[in-house]
Amino acid sequence: MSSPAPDPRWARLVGVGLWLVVGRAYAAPVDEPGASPVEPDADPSDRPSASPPVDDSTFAPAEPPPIPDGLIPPTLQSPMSVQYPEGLAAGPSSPEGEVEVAFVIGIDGVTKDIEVTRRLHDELDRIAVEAVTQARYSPATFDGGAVEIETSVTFRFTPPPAPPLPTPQEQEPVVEVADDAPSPVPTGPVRIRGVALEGGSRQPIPSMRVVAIPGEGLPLGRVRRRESRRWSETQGEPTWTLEATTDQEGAFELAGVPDGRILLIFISPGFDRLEYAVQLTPSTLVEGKYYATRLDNNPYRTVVVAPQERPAEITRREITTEELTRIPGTQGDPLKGLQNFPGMARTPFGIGQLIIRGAAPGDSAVYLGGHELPTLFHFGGLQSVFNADMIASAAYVPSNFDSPYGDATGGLVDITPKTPRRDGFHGYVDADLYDASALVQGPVGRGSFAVAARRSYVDGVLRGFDAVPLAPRYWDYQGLFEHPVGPGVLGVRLLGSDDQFVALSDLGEGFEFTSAFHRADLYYRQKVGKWSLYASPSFSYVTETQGTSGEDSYNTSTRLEGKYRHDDHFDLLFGTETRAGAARLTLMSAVGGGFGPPGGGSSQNAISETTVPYVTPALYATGTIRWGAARPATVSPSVRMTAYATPMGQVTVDPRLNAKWDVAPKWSLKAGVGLYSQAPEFVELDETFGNPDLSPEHSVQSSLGARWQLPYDMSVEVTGFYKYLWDIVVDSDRLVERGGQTVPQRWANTGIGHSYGAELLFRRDFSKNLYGWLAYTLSRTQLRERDAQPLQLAPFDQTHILNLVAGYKLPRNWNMGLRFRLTSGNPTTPLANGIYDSTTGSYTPFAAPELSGRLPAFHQLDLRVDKTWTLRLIRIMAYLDIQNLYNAQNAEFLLSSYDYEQSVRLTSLPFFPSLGLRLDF
Amino acid sequence: MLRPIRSRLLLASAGGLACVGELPDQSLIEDTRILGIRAVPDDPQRGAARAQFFGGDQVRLQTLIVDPEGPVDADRVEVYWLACPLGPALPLYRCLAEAVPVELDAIPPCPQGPTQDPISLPAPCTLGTELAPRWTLPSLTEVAQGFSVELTLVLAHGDMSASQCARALLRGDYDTPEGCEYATGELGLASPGPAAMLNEHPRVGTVAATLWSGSDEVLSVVELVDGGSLSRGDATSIELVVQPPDDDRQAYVVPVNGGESFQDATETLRVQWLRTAGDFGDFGGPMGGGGGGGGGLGGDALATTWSPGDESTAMLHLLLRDERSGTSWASIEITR
Repeated sequence: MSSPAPDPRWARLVGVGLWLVVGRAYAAPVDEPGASPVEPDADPSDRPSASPPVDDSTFAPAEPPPIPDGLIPPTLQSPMSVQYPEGLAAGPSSPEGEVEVAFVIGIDGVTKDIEVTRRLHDELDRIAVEAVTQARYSPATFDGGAVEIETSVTFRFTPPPAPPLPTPQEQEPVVEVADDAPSPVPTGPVRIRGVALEGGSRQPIPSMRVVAIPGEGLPLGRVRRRESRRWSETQGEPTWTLEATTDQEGAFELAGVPDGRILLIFISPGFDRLEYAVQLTPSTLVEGKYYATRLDNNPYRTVVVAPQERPAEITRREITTEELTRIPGTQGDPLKGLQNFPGMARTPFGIGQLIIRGAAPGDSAVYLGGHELPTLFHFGGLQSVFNADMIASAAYVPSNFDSPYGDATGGLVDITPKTPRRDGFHGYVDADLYDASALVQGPVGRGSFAVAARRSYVDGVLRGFDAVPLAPRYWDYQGLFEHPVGPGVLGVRLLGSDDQFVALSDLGEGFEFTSAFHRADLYYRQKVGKWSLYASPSFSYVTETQGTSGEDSYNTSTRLEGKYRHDDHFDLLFGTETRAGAARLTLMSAVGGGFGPPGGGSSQNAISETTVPYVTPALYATGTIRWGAARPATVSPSVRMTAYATPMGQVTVDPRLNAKWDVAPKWSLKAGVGLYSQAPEFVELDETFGNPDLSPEHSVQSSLGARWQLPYDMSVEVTGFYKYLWDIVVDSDRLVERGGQTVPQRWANTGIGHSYGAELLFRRDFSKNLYGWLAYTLSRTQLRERDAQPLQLAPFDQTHILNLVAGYKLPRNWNMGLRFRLTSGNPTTPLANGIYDSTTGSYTPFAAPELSGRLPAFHQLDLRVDKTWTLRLIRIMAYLDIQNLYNAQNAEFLLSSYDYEQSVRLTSLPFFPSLGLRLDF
Repeated sequence: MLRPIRSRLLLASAGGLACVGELPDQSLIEDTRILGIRAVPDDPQRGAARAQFFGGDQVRLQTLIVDPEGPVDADRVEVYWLACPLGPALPLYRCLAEAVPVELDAIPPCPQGPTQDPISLPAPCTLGTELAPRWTLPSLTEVAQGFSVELTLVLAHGDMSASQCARALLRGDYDTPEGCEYATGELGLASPGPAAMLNEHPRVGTVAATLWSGSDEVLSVVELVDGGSLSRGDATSIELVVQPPDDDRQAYVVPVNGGESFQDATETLRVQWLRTAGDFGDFGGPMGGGGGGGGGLGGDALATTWSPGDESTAMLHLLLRDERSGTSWASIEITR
């Protein structure tokens, strides 16, 4: 028998009632288009309805109440439709009936206070609530003003008739419903009991259809597709069929199954078809676990985008970890993937520094769990210092970030760690040419934990390249533990990282550079009514050495944050972030007095140590106000007050304002302006090595952007920005009076700068097979160190930055991704000659117009291909990540000869394939 | 403030991963070059190795200028000397760099001879066009502030004149003409005090040359002095060990951060080898990038190995430095 696949069956909204709420207990039944009883064949365009109509639907129309004078009822903007779930429809006893949902349509047209007032089945109730949640109305008005409306809808769910199954001609196994259905097999005791689980992750699969048919002639166990096809060609129609549907735990039972060889067929949307043969002997019960393979398989599937309840930051680019990990050239590191967004300049050798809208790397902040990270990437930029599988979301805010974040005049990366899983023990082991890593997570009591570690060995791989004198060697670790405590959740977070360069040849000997940090966080979060509270102290130790110089700092950071959500129109976020600690500096000090910064050219230096204590409490608050109905607008005024108490003794007050306006259903505008402050570095503030009279650096950031949602999950975003910086700390040769003595100033707040440009992001979301984005930035960043000097290009200015990222999900769990980058070369200072220093034997270049030249444009194509195999208990992913596919010889630096008369280009990393294997369980 | 890593990490790690291309070797003499500048007492009786002077001292400026044939005679080059007061702990050439652009004709001659009262040294001033000029130091006011004198040698060869090269330098050109070489050195100044505390140029002493055969057998051991010559015969490599006098590593006191504290220090002697042919052994060292020819620490054996090329003769030059302003040099000819 051959028949088409069953059409989706639709339930229907059959009745609506409305009650008006205008601040007093006035209730009057009204009628409006979306609330009228719906005739089966009524035009669905102006009311909640289902399409196509179900022939056998019935409905019980609500009695339409009269409309009071002056009331204009709300109008549903698009049809509200629900679909009868296939899993339930396939079951032996598909529920049928009505679900009534009561809710309020706010003055902004958004539904809220949603409650099921008549229940039918958990799954159907959920579908109905979801449909109401997504519905949007034009708000009701009463005497010209928008009012809230309380209303309800009733959904009638009618299961479709049992669908005929695919035929042998369609290369599907023979599982057909006999013409003389209902099945002749009598009911009886349960003979087969099992649980359907997702292969690899072992998560239960609810609503999965399980069909049992006679399977004589099949071998026991899993039946391969080819084997099933051959077998089915020799079979006629099955003499009987039995079906069941798995519950929320993935469990199912089949009763009355005859003895003999039985073929179980598991079918569910999004999963590969699973066939399994079992043997039933008299008076026995077969129990088992059955593992189905998800069609779109990805170990990062559980990662979701963070909640959208955020202030209207002008440009907050958030992306799923799944999407970011598939970007070629990032070695599966989502945080490296962020570098492909607009405004993020390319860094030489892909070393992974954050150069956001022309800002120096140290001017942008990276927060993790509410506390700042000293660095985001390991040496060489090969990986980030935090495990990708522990990240719930990573947001990139190139400017105008919100008040909880501070001490940065550039941009922001905000990482939200993930709560460890509780559904059993899971983890992974991953190894490629760069490093190896592993993670384990699972439940502990009522809580959960996760531990992970990574260690590199890329230095061993690079030993094969004779011309590479140095290579990075790194390791990192993370530990998370969360447990419910009272009404909230208490968590502990440990993380750390260690980096060093190792010499691969004699040229690299003596180049000592190490960096490490260790951090421990404690946090507690709780929701109380309309309040959300978060408290977290953190302690970190950061150390860094470069030759005989070094910096060790002991740091504490405490964040206390509260959020009050009054309603959909207003919420308030406020809190404190207090940083305190001390940094011990070991530096080469200038001998004989010294005018410039330490180590600034004198061949006669001595090692000195000093300690810089610091205390920096900050208060912040952000109010978010939303209004309007069809054209909702959001305004988020905020302020951050930072007391740079020690050592500067100065206070900064940074007001900020962000706004968003949905001009039309698919158009929105965003704008932001605000002040930002940042403390100088420890060494710059030190009394001995620096200038304790320095002030914080400042910037005023402004942005204006528009977003247009296109069909097919595509969107276009255009953003213009301007940033002005002042009080930038630059080195100084001046002598100044301090404490009655003439001393070298060393550093001064005399620098200013401008950064301006425009960004374009054309993006297709990750929801389809083809995904990716085109990001283009046109910008200019200029700096001036002193009044008398002209503005000159900033060291990291790149006029054009073009990133094209595209990925495609191929059949059979293959994925392919491409990344193409085309950017302007970095500014460079032309050097042509120098003067020989007979006391050292080296040359000093003659001063040339600084950064007046530019390296050639950079272009590179990267490719990533991965394939996933899902087995019962594990999932295996093999991937090939090729950097610089066509081996472009891009100049990253100019290396001059000893006398500066000649130069050669240091080119970027050549064609470099990395083959890796990842095993998830 | 929790961001200790700024652009230096960027550059450091980038450099670490870079693939270094081909650049000329600093230790190979392929053209006319200045290798050494120093000031010594004009009267050897006043301490032939002194590198630090009082007002009233007469000093003589010395140079080592070489080309592929060896040390260059005075009649083949033109020079121009400039002097400039240099602040403490500032790198050489800073004084002149801050003075340019300046007209050559506007630069006064440096004051000569002892004066009744200390005077300031013009920045810059000229010391003439002789290859080895003499200068009687005036009493300078900057001495008390820890200043020294920055010496600049302008060298012209080929078709260029010294004044052309000097004008290019003083205009502030960064792309100076072909045929112009520039070098800077330091003339140390001292406040009146015990002479034993004065910095001195380290002395090369002798160079022990051990000739090795291809089968790693010692053929002979020879001691050489500046201007010496060595016939290598069948030697495939020559081990060269500089042997400065034992007492040439001076102890001195280092003022730290404007005299906030003081540290005792002892000079470290470093040798730089250069050659017109052949090749030196691998010296290692931190990220040299085309340098070579330098090695040795602490006044112990300052050794290198030189392997001859196809040329019949080669000149080897060595410069010995004490990491202050003390410099000495020697040249050795090696024949087949």
